[in-house]
Amino acid sequence: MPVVEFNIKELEKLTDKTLTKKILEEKIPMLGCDIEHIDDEKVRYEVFPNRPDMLSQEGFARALRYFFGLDKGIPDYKTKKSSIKLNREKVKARPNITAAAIKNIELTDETLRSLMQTQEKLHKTLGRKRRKLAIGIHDLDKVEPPFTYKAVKPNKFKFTPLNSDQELTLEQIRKKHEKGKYAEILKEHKKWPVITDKNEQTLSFPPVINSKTTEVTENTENLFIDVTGTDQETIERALNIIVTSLKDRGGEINTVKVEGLGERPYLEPEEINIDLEYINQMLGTDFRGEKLKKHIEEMGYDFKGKIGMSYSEEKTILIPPYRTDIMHPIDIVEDIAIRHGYDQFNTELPTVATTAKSDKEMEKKEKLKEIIIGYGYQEVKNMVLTNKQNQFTKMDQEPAQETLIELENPLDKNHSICRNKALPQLLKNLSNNQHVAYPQKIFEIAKCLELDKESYNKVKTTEKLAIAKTDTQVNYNEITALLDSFMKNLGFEYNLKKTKNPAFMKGRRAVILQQGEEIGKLGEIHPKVLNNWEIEKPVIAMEMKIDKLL
Amino acid sequence: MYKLTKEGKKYLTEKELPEKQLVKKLQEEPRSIEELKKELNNLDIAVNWGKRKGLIEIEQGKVKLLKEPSSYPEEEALKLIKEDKEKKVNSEEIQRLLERKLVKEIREDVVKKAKNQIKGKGQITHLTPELIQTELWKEAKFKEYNIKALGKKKHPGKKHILTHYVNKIRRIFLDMGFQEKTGPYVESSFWNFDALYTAQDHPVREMQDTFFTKKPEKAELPDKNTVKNVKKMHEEGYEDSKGWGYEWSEEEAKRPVLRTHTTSLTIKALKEIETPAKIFSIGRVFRNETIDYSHIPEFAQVEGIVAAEEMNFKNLLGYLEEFYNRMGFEKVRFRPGYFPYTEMSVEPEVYYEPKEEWLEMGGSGIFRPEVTRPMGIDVPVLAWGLGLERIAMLDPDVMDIRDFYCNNDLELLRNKQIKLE
Repeated sequence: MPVVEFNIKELEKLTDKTLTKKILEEKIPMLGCDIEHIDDEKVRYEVFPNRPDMLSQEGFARALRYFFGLDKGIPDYKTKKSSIKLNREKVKARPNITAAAIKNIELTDETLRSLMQTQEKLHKTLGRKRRKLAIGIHDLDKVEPPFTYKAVKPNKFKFTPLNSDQELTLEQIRKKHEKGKYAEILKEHKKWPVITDKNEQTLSFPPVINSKTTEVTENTENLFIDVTGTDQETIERALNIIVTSLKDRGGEINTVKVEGLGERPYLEPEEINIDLEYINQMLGTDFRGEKLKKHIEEMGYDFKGKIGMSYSEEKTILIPPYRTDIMHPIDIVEDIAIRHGYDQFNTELPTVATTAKSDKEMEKKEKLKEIIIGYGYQEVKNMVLTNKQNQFTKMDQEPAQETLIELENPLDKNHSICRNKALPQLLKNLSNNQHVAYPQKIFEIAKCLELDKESYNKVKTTEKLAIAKTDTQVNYNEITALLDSFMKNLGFEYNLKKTKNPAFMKGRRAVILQQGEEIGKLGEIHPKVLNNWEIEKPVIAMEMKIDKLL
Repeated sequence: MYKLTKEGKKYLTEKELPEKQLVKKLQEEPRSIEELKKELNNLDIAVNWGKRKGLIEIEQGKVKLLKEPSSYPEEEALKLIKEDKEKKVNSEEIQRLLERKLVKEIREDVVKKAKNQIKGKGQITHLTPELIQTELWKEAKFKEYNIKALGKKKHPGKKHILTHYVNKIRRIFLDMGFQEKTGPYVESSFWNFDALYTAQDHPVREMQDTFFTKKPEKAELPDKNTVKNVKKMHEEGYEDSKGWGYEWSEEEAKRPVLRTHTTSLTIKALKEIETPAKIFSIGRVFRNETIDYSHIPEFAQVEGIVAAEEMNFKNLLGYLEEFYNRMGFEKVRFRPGYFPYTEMSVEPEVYYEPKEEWLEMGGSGIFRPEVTRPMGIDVPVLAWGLGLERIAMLDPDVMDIRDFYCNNDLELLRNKQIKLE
C-alpha cells in the first residue's frame, strides 16, 4: 500500500494543530491509515486504496482537520473561467485527457516536494503505474495556449525532455531516457501521444516525460496540468485531487476548455441518497438529528436540507469532488462509524442459533495421523509449490508433463509447479536434517494436485500419505510391516506387487494395491536417489493415496 | 529343575488341595453336588481326585465320604520342591504333580544358562528371563546404575506445531457453533476476485501479487445467472450501487489462480447455504512474496463468517472480541481498515502481554452489498480472517517462518514443548 511521508512541523502547519506523539500514533490511525514509521521529525502513514485524496499531504491534512472537528462541510472550490483551450486529435494509444490551470501559487520547497509526491503516488495507485492515468504539471508561462493533444510518429517527433540536454525522438526517449520504460505502455501503437502549444513547442509526451521547457521551479507562478489515460472518470478524479490540493496551498483554480468535454475541472459535488434507518441498522446505533448531521459534515460531506428526529427518512448527501470512493450508501455509513470512532462502539455478541459441524475429512485425517504418530513418526509440513528438479529429476523420474500444474509467473525457479507427490519433499527434509540425531522418522499428509479435465477448475486434488525413516541401517521389511499394521488397524485389505520404480532399490520395492488399484509404492530408496539428495544414510519410505481411506 | 506353578503355590499356602477341602466338607454327612458347588470353587477337580484316590463316591447326586486319609503326599512333595529339595521327592510323585500342573519343569539348558550367569563374584548387569524363572536371582548381585544418568535420547512422534494451532482454532469455532468448510487450492479468478467485487484492474490481480497458472489455462465459470449478476455489478452497479464502471471481461474471470484467500470458498459456500449460517475454514493460501524469515509464498488462513438477519457493526466487533478472547488474547481493540469486499472494514489488534504491545491480528468487515447481492444473499455477512503463522510466530522458539514449511527443522519439531491448554 502507498505511504505518505510528512515533516511533522509541516503537518502541524497544514492542520493548525499541535500534534503530540500520542495523537500521531494512536488518534490518526483511527481515521483509517496505518502508521508505518515515526521519529522526532518525520512520520509516515500507509494510505488505504479507497482514499487516493489522502495521498497528497494537503488532502491528508484536510481529512485530519475534519477528523479533529476543525472543519465541516465541503469547502468552496470556486473556479475561475480562463481562456485556455485544449484541442484534441484522435489519440488511439491513450484516448482520454483532461486539464486545468492553477494561477498565483507560491511554490515553496515544501509545496513542490508535496506536489511531486502526490503525482508519483497517484501514478502508482489510481494510475496503475501510469497505464490508467498520468499527470503532467507544467509552467504555464513558458508556453502559449491553445494546446493540442495529438498522436505522432515515435521516430520522427523530437523534443528535449526533462533531465536531458538534447532533442530526442520519442523512440530514442524510450530507449535511452530513465523514464523510457513507461513507453512500454504504448508499444502496441504506431503513433504516440504528445501535447504541444500554439507554436509547436512540446509540453509533454504522456505518460512518459514532460519537456524541459515547462519545468516547474520555485519561481513558477502559474501551472498547467494535464491528465491523460484510458478511463475518463479516473483521470477526472485524479485531476480533482491535484487541483483541490493546490487550492489548499493558496492557488486559484482556473478552468481549461477541453475540446469535446467543456470546462474542466468539474468540481460540482455528486449526490447520493441514503435512508437514515440504513445507517443505524448497519451500525447497531440510534444516531439521529443534529448529532448524525454533525457526524456527516465532519467527514467533509454536505447535508442537503434539514434533519428531523425521524429514524427512517431518505436524505441526500453531497460528496466533495476529491472523494472518489463513494459507490454505495454503505461507504457513507463507514465514514460515520469512523467519525464516531471505532473505539467508541460497544461490542455486542448476538445469539445466532446454528449447529457446529466439523469437516469429516479433516477429522479422519487427524485420526490417521494419530496412528502414524503411534509408530514414533514426526509430522512435517511442506510447501505445495516446488520444482521439477525436486519432484522428478532427483527421484530419477521423468516429469509428468501432461498432468502437471505449472505457474504462469513463478516466484523463482525453485517454486514453479504444484506438487503431485508428497515423498520428494520428505527426502528434502531428511537432506536438510542430517545434523540431527538418528533415527529420523517423519511423515506428511499432503494435498497433491494434478490436471483434470472433468472438474470446473481443471484440477484434481488427491490426499497422499508419505512416510520415511532413515538410520545408519534400515530394513525393507520394516516398511512393509508398518504398512501392514496401518492397514489392518483400519480394516483395509491390500496387496503388494513387484515394480520397476527407479527411485527404489531392485528387489526392495513394491507397489501397493487396494482392490486391484495401484494406490502407492514403498521400498528402500535407491542409493542414486540418495546421492541426488545428498542424503548419507539409507532410507525406507512409502507413499500412498488415502482418498479411499477417508 | 522343578518350580511350583501359581496353582501349586496356592494349594501350599492360602488354600488346601481341592480333594482335602472336599473331604472336610463331608465329615458330618453326604452332601448334594448343588450345595457343594456353592461352597467350593473347584469342585470338579476335588471330585476327580477324590474318586481317583478312592476317598469319595457319588450316589444319586450326593457325595459320600469313603475314608479320610492320614496324609496327602502332594503337600509334602510341594513343600520339598519349594525348599529346593526336589531330589527327596520320588519321580512318580513328580509326574503326578506335573500332571496336576502344580509344578513346572525348568529346562536343563535354562538352568545351565542361569547358573553360568551368576558364576564368579562379579556384579550382574542384566536381570535375565533365566534368572527370573529359576529364581537364581536370589543368589546374584546386581550392578547399581547412576540413577540420574540418561539413556539414549528419546524423541516422541508428534503432530506438527501448526497442527496444534489448527486444531485449537477448529475447537474454538466448533465450540461457537460454526460449520467447517474446505475448498480447492486452484480457483478461478471469478471466485477468488470477481465474486468478491475486486475490479479486474485492481493491483492485487497483477502478477507480482498473485500466482496464475499456465496449466491449467482456463477454469469454467459458474451458472450463467451468477456470472451475469457479477458482471452487471462490476460494470454498472445494481440498485443503490454505482459499480466500478468498466468493461468486465469473462476471459479474465476464467484465469485460474492459486487462491489468495479462503474467502473464495466462503463466498461459494454462502451461495449454497441457508441462513442463518456460521461457517469457518482453515486452509492454505498463496501470495507472490519473496521468501525471507517473515515471508513465505504460502501460509494457512483462518476465516470465520456469520450470515444472519439484523447483523450489524457492533455484532462484528462482538464476534471478533469473543474469538480473540478464546484464542487467549484478553484485550482486543479495533481500527479502521480497507478491503475491496468489505465495508465497514476493521483491523483488530490484540494486546500481547509478553511484549507489552498491540499486534495487528488479521482483517475483518461486513461484506459489501456489491458482493452479497449477486449471490442472492440478502442478510448482512460478518467476516474475519487471520494468518495462522502470525500466531505461531509469537512463539519465542520460532524465529523463522521457514522453519514451518521449507526446513521442517527436526530439532525444533521434536523439542517443541507441548502446552497442555
